[in-house]
Amino acid sequence: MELYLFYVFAALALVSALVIIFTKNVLYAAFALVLTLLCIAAVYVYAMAPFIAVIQIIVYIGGVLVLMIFGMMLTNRLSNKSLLTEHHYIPQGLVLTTALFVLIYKALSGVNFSGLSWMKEGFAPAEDNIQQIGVYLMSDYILPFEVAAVLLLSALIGALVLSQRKERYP
Amino acid sequence: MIPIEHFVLLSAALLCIGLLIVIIKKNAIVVLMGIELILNASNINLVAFARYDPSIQGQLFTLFVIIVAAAEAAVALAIVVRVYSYFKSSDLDRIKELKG
Amino acid sequence: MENSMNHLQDIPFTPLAYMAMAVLLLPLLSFVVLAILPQRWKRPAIALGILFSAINVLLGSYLFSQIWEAEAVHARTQWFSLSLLDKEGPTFTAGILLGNLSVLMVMVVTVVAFLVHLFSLAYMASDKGIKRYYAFLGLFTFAMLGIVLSDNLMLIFCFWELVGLSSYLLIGFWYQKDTAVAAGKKAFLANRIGDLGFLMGLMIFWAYFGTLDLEVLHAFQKEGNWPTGELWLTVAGIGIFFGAVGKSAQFPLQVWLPDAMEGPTPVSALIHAATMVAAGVFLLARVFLLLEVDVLTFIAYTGAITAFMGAIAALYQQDIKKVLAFSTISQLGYMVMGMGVGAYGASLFHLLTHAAFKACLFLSAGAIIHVLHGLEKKLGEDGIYIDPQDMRSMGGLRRYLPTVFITYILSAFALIGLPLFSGFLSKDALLTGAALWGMEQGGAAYLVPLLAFITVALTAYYMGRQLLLVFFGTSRMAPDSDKVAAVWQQSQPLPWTMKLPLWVLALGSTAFVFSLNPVDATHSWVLQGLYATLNSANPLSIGYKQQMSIVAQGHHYHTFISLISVGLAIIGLYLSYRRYGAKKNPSKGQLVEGERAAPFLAKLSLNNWYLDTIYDKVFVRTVLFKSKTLQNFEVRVLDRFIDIFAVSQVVLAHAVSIFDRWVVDGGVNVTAYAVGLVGKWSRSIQGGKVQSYFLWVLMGVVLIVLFFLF
Repeated sequence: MELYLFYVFAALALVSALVIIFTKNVLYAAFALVLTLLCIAAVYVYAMAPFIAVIQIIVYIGGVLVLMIFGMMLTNRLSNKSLLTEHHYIPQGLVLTTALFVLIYKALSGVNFSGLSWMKEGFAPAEDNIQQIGVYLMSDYILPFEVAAVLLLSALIGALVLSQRKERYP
Repeated sequence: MIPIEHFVLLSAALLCIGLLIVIIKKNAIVVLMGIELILNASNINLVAFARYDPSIQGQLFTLFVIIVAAAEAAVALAIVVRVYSYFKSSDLDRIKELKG
Repeated sequence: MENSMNHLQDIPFTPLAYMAMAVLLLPLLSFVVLAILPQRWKRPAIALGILFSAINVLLGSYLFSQIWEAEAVHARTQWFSLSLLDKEGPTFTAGILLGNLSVLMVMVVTVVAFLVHLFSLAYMASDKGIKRYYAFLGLFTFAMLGIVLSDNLMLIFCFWELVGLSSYLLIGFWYQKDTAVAAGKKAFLANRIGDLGFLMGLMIFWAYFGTLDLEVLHAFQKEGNWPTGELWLTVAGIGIFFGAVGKSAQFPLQVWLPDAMEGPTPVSALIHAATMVAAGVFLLARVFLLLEVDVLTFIAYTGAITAFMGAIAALYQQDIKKVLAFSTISQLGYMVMGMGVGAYGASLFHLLTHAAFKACLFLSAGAIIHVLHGLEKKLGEDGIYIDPQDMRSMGGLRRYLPTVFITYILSAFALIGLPLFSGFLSKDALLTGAALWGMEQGGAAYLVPLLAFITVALTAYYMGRQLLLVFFGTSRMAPDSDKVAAVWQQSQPLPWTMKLPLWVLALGSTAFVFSLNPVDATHSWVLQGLYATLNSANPLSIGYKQQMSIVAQGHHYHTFISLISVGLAIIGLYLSYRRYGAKKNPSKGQLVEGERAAPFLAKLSLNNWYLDTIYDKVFVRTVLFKSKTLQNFEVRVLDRFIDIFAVSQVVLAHAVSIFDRWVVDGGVNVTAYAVGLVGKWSRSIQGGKVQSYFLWVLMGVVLIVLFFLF
């Protein structure tokens, strides 16, 4: 049951990702991305990382995608027409990505994961490891955590400065 | 337990789709979406392999990746808005100041 | 020869020898100074040249007073030595030989040179090259004194050549005139032919005796080491005589002297009357004792023939200088003949008197030419053209140029050989010698005195003709006499620098200077002094024997011979008077007419026995024909071959150029185009499109993965 639900979500993620490729409408692409990210959040849950899944939904769907939709609006000429995008380099891109996928598939098929020692000794993590993450963030990962905070702040300021209308920097 | 190969394959597929989006789409915002997809594909791998790690480093790394992705998206979108106001277009093939 | 070495010891230089060196080198100094000083200092430079020349006369006179009839001075030093391997090689010496002969010649050369220097001052005054002229005069004087003072034949030959060079320079002095250049060339070539003989003679002497020192050669003869009768010695003598033939303008090389009159007239006086042409006679005097009997006979005949030919050629000349030139040839023939018959003293005596009166004649002619040249311009303004050297446009000059008339007539009488004049004495002595030689030899040898006596009459005839044409009668310069008088009114009087040399030389043409008895030279101081030079000679020497027999027997025939010669001279003068005398007084037109209808003799005379024509036909044409043949060969064969070679080169070059253009250049162009294509293509990669870069990066990633997988 669990496996089939995983397949459903994975398939949904892939299909909606393909929709991003096929559609020309940027807004449709954004909504398809929302679906993809949601499905990926579900996949995280199946990978026993519910906290990450929640963060995924909050940050991506609540933040990044809203940002993107604002960006779309800011880069549109506010007409009745919807924002469309053109395609190019289709043959080259298709050939290269397909080739990469085939190669990765071949590489993976040559690996026997269950035969690896660290996998056999692998532990089954708890269903709820939010506390463990909190402890780690406040202890071992306190420096990256603070740096990430500073990074976010500076990104905020940077985005503000960059998107100012006034031509400060010619 | 869902076998690890499934996660890896899914991540590979998403990676290739993201790459394809980045290559073929002209609009800068859609290209950014492709980048987000690539980042998510890597996150899937990290989270999947964190299952075999008692210190769940993969999950924590994913957390930071998401943070950086958010920052990146903010700055990138600001740049896109700025570029649009300069070139009156967000099509990447119109922006070729670096042409040799 | 074993004893030759001690003969060639150095002989120290005495003060007199040093003084002779000074006399020799002073003209060279004059030449150097004049050559170095810039053109704008030409007046002081020329003054310096004349001053040097005057000093030279004083030094020469002092030398003369010390050496004449006194002990001879010989100074010698080693010049250079040739080493053969480790053995001591032949040694060449150089030195000064001062005897009666040398100092007499020194006097002649320095005095005439000084007078010519002085005379030229006015004559060349308007010439731009006057400084060059004086420099050449100095060079010539140096060379001539070198011949006179040298003690060996080698040195004499060196100075001999230098004389030839300076003569060439002075004849061709007006190098703008083609005729002057040609005359210089002709003189030079004729002299070279003679010098070839001279050089051969020197080589034979060297081969026999290993030295060319005259004193040593004479010593050999005296010691009895002389291989008399050897054929090679005869050849050597004739060779040396050939040198004299070239320089003294003897038959058959006399053709250069008339042409040499293209030079300035004072130069003709110095070189072609008094000194250079006398060098040949002087050379014969130097080697007189060494000559074989056959050589002397040959010399005698050559001299007599030359004297006769020269006199004939002088008969009908129209150019005042040409007459004098042929007269010089004739008189030189006398001197050479005198050497040949053994009249050594008489020959040199004639050289001395001839130097004086012929220089005087030339300078007088120069004065006439100088004056007429001035008038030529004035007449030219009125449309009357005269040649200042053509006797046909002269006449009556005794009224206008009295000084020149007197000096000319004095020296002309000396040349004719009238009593009381110097020429009489010397010619008389020569004729006596010739007559005695003829009687002694008998048979064909009578030809020599016969020709000599005929020449006396001829000389009188042509000189009488010249005097009558130039000085007597009326002027033929312009058709009406008033015009002539008007023109002469404007003429410049002769400056003293011209008159002084004329008077000095005219004085030297009188007999009193040379002998107390003006009709008999036997006891003249000159002849006595010259005989004295032979005193030390080997009594077996042929020349010595002949000279002594003349001295011994001469006075028996002297009166008879002088009467004949004076009679012949008067006949000659009378004939010329009959033809050109005052009563006839031919006009210019008549003279020109008479020339056209000239008899054979006149044509022969005017063309100098057609010698030039014969030489032209025989030698010049042959050479030209040969050169033409060679030229044809060159043009037809060599040039064609070279042409074909060149054409094939050009064809090859064209082929190479096509190959170069299409193959080499094409290859280069294709390479460049290919590189350009690659460049264009690779530039298109840098399209400025982010996604295309990304594509390439992705391709690289795929390739890396491929590499790691397989």
